[in-house]
Amino acid sequence: MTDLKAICQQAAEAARRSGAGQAEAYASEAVSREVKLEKNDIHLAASSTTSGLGVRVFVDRALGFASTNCLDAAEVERSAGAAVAVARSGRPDDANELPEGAALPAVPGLHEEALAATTMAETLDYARRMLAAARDFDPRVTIDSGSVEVVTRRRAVVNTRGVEAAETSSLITYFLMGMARDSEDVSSFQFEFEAHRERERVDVEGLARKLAGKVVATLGAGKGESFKGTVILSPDAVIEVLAAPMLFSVDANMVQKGMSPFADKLGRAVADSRITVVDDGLLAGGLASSAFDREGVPHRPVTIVRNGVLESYLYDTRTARRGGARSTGHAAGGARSVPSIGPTNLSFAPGDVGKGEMIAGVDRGILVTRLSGGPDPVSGDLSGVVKGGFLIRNGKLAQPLTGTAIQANSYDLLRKVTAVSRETESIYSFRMPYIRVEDVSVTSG
Amino acid sequence: MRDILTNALAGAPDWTELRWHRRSQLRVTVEKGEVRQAKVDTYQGVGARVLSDGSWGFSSTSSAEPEAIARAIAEAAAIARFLASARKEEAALPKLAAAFREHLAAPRDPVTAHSIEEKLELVLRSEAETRARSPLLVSATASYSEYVDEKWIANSSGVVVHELDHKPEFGIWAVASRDGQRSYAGRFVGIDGGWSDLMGKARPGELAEYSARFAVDKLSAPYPDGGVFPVVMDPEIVGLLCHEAIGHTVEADFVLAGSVAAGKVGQKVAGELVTMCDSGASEIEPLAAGSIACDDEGTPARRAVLIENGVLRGYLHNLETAARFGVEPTGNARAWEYDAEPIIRMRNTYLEPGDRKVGELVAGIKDGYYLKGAGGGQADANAEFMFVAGETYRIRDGKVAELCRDATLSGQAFEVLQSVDALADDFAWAMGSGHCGKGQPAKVDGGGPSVRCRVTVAGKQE
Repeated sequence: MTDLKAICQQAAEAARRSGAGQAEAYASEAVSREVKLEKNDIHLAASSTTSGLGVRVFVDRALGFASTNCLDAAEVERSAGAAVAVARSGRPDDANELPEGAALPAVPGLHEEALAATTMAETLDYARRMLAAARDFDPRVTIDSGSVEVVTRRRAVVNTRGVEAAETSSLITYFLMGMARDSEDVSSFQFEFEAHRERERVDVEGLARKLAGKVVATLGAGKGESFKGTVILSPDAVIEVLAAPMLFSVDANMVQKGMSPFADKLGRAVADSRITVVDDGLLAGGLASSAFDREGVPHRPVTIVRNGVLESYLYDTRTARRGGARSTGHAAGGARSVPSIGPTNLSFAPGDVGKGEMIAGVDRGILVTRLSGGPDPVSGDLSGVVKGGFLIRNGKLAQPLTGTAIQANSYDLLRKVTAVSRETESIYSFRMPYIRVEDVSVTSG
Repeated sequence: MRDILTNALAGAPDWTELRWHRRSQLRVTVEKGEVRQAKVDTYQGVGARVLSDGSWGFSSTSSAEPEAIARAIAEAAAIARFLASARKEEAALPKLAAAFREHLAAPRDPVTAHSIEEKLELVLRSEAETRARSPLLVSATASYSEYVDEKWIANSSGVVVHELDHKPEFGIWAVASRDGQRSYAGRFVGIDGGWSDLMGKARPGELAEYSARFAVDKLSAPYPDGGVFPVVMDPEIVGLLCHEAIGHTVEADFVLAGSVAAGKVGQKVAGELVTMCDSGASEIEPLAAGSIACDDEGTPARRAVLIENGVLRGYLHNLETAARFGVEPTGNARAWEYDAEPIIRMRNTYLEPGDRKVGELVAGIKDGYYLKGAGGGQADANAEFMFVAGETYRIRDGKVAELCRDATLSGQAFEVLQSVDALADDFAWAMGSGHCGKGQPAKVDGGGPSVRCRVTVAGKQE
């Protein structure tokens, strides 16, 4: 097994020797086994080992970066030299500084031997069972694509200011994308995805039935009604309509570039008091959990919005330095790119209303399970076509919808929340409840 | 490299394809005067794909040493044999003739002849010039990037391909703000070609002027009215519509999975004026960013006619789907990097131009919109789409009137193509920046002439 930390040390040292004032090396290696589905059949299996090294240097505070997928000694030296050469043609910038080393938290459950040891035969078996369960659910279900992948990832980051971090994690991910077709009636396509760090929790049949149920339910869709009123956002739609623009606006880089509507809003209400948003890179079992970020800064839970009030932006070292703050541990990215800012495990806190109760309380409205088209994060203007939506009539799901669009402003909607469900669902690294919002223009026609 | 690959193939018992790919990437980005990206990246290795007992196996290695390649072949073969028990439908290949195809001509004035200093200087200057144009501009971004690819592809049928490829890109983006309102505008231009080709097409000075002006003008622009309107769409939106809403539904893998275009060959699916193609060559105008000489299975990337005078003529194929449909492969099998297997992707997708002037198209509309530039979008398996136009103008009494905030368009792409009643002569390749995503990215392009049709425009929330 390649010693990633030793490679990082070699790269950082080589960069320093070539003239870097500060140097950082990030190395990663992913060992993956994957079985892919296509056109209702097993399509392809692949096993791969991919590795990468990214060297970031500051020469007189000017940035240079070079990366390679080959980790032999000569290539490591060459990449370090290339990063320094790039920096020599750059421009100095006071914000260019690497973080200092810090004690790292323990994150239990990142790596499970039983999961990492999943064989190709077992991976294939998962794929076969997932496909069969979707097709057995209803013959009208057709699977366009899908995959089961088991990945063990090792990563390390070392810099010349004392950061020295390494970690191993394993993960199984599986997804299906499909639609239902009943002669000329083609449903909209739907996507289901799950990821686990414990083998025991894998439930490919459950995912397949969920997908199949969703696509069949959107067959026979009709036009709805045009009105301005209540919309219930499913966890998927919450990500797109509310979480995505919020993440854009709390990115410290967007704040400092004058693009964020949340600039100057720290300590002020940006959402209804039912809304509390936490990003936690240490979350047990979380898809994005790890002890440290892309720069080696320790992860910690960060409350972004508490009871509607904006409490924190997300910072990396660079933006923290520029903004007079401390990095929140949100440097993101891989070996092939200069770090940027990104979330880890983001959740909207659950509320106190049952999902069924929430629907029952609506005389006329729609439930949006998936939306095509999201908000423009700069203005918040949202215009989207409802995919897999239902008309709600007298407290009941009346009929699947087609040809229905919604319009609103995402930042306004954050203030127009009237209910948050007790139930939450995990989607990728997000955990989201159902959220009811008001004053949305619904157009059908 | 040729010898290493052909020697490795000689020892392989099953049908095997080897693809060595070295990609050199460079990117420089400046945001509000700060250098945010200044990077060079090298990514290389060999992908091995084996067809055994009707099943595919794939494995890859970052090493080009013969032992590493032999291990990758053995692993791919083991996986393929192992999958054979699980797969219902057997994959087969069409008959392939041995051939050596070489495409090594570098573009005129290649990007590799220009230093990173020059590229960074361009980006720094462009960003500063953009931001200096108005005090209302709070931020600007300028970015340059390039892919320089070399590939060797060889398979057990005796096909050997050696190709070189340069795809640079440049763009500017500006954000304006006033009284808490924000708006932005910008454009990225990507091509297959050299440095002076890119500068000639992107014209940095004009891009700076365009981005700054529209970001500021949109601050005071009214929202468009909602409804179904006659519109004129520019080549960029037409390209996006062809690619996103139609193109994906005619990818043969998607057709086999039951896309809306399945079983419709020979049927009328669009207005008679509509002829749509996808080609590996830069048809009609040069520099299309999705250009490839051969695909990643080594098949020449020929022009595929998808819709001819409104009638669906065919689909986009790789070797396997061509054999299954009993047609010639179209050269649409593409892999992003060495460690991804080739799948069916588009290249340059376009609508054939007509002979009218854009002004005539506009003159025929009493009340509608002139939509220019694509600001992103999505489409679904049933060809329903949702796009945002980067520039939206009202058309009143046959004349282009006021600028509006960005319009969101939606509809079913085949229905929109049914409504096409005029094509202009202003053909352009217009969506060469960025990437298409389908599990893995691909550089593609799209284009066409300006088109008059009917589409749903989303209005402002009342």
